[in-house]
Amino acid sequence: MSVLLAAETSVRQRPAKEVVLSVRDLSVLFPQGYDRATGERRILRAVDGVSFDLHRGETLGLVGESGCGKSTTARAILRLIGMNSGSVKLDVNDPKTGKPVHYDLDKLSGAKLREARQHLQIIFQDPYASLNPRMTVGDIIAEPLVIYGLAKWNERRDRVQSLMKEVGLDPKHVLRYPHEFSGGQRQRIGIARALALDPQVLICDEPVSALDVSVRSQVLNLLIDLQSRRGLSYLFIAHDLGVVKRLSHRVGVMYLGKLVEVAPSEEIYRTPKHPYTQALLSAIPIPDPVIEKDRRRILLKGDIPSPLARQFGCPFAPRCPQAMPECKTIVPRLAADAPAHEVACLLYPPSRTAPASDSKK
Amino acid sequence: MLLDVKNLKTHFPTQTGLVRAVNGIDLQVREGAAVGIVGESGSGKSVLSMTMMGLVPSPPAIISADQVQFEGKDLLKATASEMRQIRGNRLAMIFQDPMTSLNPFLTIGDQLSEPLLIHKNLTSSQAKKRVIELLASVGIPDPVARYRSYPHEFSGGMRQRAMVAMAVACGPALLIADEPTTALDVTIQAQILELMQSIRQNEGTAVILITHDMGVAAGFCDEIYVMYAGRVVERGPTERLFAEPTHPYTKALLSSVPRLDDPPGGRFRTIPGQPPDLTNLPVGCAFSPRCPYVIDTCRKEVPPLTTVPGESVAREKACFVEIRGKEAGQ
Ligand SMILES: Nc1ncnc2c1ncn2[C@@H]1O[C@H](COP(=O)(O)OP(=O)(O)O)[C@@H](O)[C@H]1O
Ligand SMILES: Nc1ncnc2c1ncn2[C@@H]1O[C@H](COP(=O)(O)OP(=O)(O)O)[C@@H](O)[C@H]1O
Ligand SMILES: [Mg+2]
Ligand SMILES: [Mg+2]
Repeated sequence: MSVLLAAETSVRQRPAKEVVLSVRDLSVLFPQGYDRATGERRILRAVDGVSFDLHRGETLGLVGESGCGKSTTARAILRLIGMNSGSVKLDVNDPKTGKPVHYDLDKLSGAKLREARQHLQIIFQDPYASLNPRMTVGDIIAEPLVIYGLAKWNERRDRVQSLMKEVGLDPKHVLRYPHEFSGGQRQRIGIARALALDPQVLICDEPVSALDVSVRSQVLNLLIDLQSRRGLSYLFIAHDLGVVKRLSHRVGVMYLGKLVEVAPSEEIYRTPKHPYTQALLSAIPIPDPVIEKDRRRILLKGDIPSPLARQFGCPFAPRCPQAMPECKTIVPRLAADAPAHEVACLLYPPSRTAPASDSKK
Repeated sequence: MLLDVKNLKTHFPTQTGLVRAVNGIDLQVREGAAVGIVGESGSGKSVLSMTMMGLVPSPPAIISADQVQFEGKDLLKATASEMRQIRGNRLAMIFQDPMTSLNPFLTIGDQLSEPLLIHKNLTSSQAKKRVIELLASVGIPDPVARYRSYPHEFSGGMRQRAMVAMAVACGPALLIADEPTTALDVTIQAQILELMQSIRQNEGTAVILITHDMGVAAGFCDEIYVMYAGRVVERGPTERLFAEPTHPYTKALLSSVPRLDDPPGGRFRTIPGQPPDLTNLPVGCAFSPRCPYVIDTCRKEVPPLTTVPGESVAREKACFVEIRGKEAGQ
């Protein structure tokens, strides 16, 4: 027992100070036609002014309930969908020369964007939907190498074999098809493909949400190992806060397209500041009947409102147990209330300050 | 005993072999109890509940049991019309996805009235009044207007509330809830669990809660059944079961769940291997290929569910090895 425990609680590598991915005031709007009653244009604010930094070797967890804009944030960073405003900067080291390279992702297109994407890859929740059922595992993993013209045929075969080994797949199965693998193994295939180009940043969009606990742990351990071996940085999107806590160095909480709190993992669970974070944490069941018996839940009233509804003030105000009259008019700013602990709520004075001049155009 | 199931089996003949989805299950539920059935996907939880509800067509399924006693009646021997009398009336069910059990073309009001008109002989205006009360009691705002809404006009959380209202409309003695909150966000899940808990307390309805979430089971249930490969591997009162599991699978399952109160950092505990193929179960205990405590007997005989010795509460386990206070031998 003691040996096992020691291994499990050993502190992982601390992330470096350098920022690899920097997102500022990212907004993504989806036009939704016109309101039948008023004739006004309806705009869905999927992502509404999101800013954060991801450091080298760091895991930043991004949590929030469905529809709060996590996947849209990920897809906008990767430029898989357009952004309406904001900037995304990527600072990586060239894999060949080791020299730092900078990309303004929001401004790039064509060949330069493709080059940048080599360093920034994504894995999805549903490995089934994201793997071509007609391609062999070998071809799926090799595909990015082919597209980027990065390796000759015989080198490719070696690369695929070593990638399969690295993610815990048997290289003998290189000619099998995705349906011949279990859910956990399929997620490993998706990870191997994402690693083929030696990226430095990996966006993981609910990579284990479809997996059962026992299999889920295996995939999460793989992600931990890969991070320490390759020095990867993860933006880890999930709605399971237990998983996120274990895995992440810092955690960001989203609500209706906005980041409402960002803090070191340990701290956000111990002293959540935003009333939404508090409610979210209190709603999560703990697998311990003794704790559950005396646990008091903050039960929120009503449903998560539609991001279509015109909102004034704080997006959480309509459901917030601590809402004040001014919450309906003033938009709280995400600002540091304690070192490294940012929150967007009028209960905390820094959130009342005007936004820094450079973020307003 | 409200529900007393002995040796229930539901097998599906398929092209690749006989799927032993439910493979000899005993289950007892007392009046007003909250019983949890936990286990990973594919362990047979849904097939078990659908079989008890009489919703598994047979043939093709092969269903057998020593008994499925509910309120003194054997459900497996009930005729189709007797079953219709029981279902939705004394015995009700909530599914994971409310859209599978709500008719998209009927208003919420019409659908909720139906069981009242069939089972309770209410007039349509009495039924309407009762439905509006029910909608209000499950926390649906503006129930008079909502009576005329269609399911798609409801959010996921509201649909699940409507499902709960429909399931409890006739005041069932037993409510089977199969992953009722799995598709919902946690803050909405908390609302639905609270609602089910209050129905239990106020109406004395017994609940079987099926879930893969050990946290949900810990908070809701007095007693827990752990399923693996179509069988119950352990049952016991929630607190004792969590405090000191007696089956290696329960123990592995509990320790592989990441908890909110765990320290950050560090690896996740895993259960090595994969759940078995139900058409080709291992000889002996189905968990034996993955079990760290395995002994020779486990690979030869199927361990029966037997009383756990030395406990002040009633506990049962299906395992040849005593694991309390012991670490897995390598
Ligand atoms: N392509 C799209 N067109 C219109 N609306 C979209 C599109 N993609 C996402 N949305 C909406 O944007 C919001 C955020 O969605 P998403 O980023 O997928 O949330 P999450 O990943 O946090 O569950 C939701 O309201 C969703 O319905
Ligand atoms: N109609 C069916 N025919 C064949 N196999 C089935 C059928 N229904 C369920 N099964 C199988 O029975 C097993 C148990 O399924 P289920 O009860 O749905 O699991 P759970 O609810 O625990 O996730 C699964 O392997 C499933 O594939
Ligand atoms: Mg998403
Ligand atoms: Mg099921």
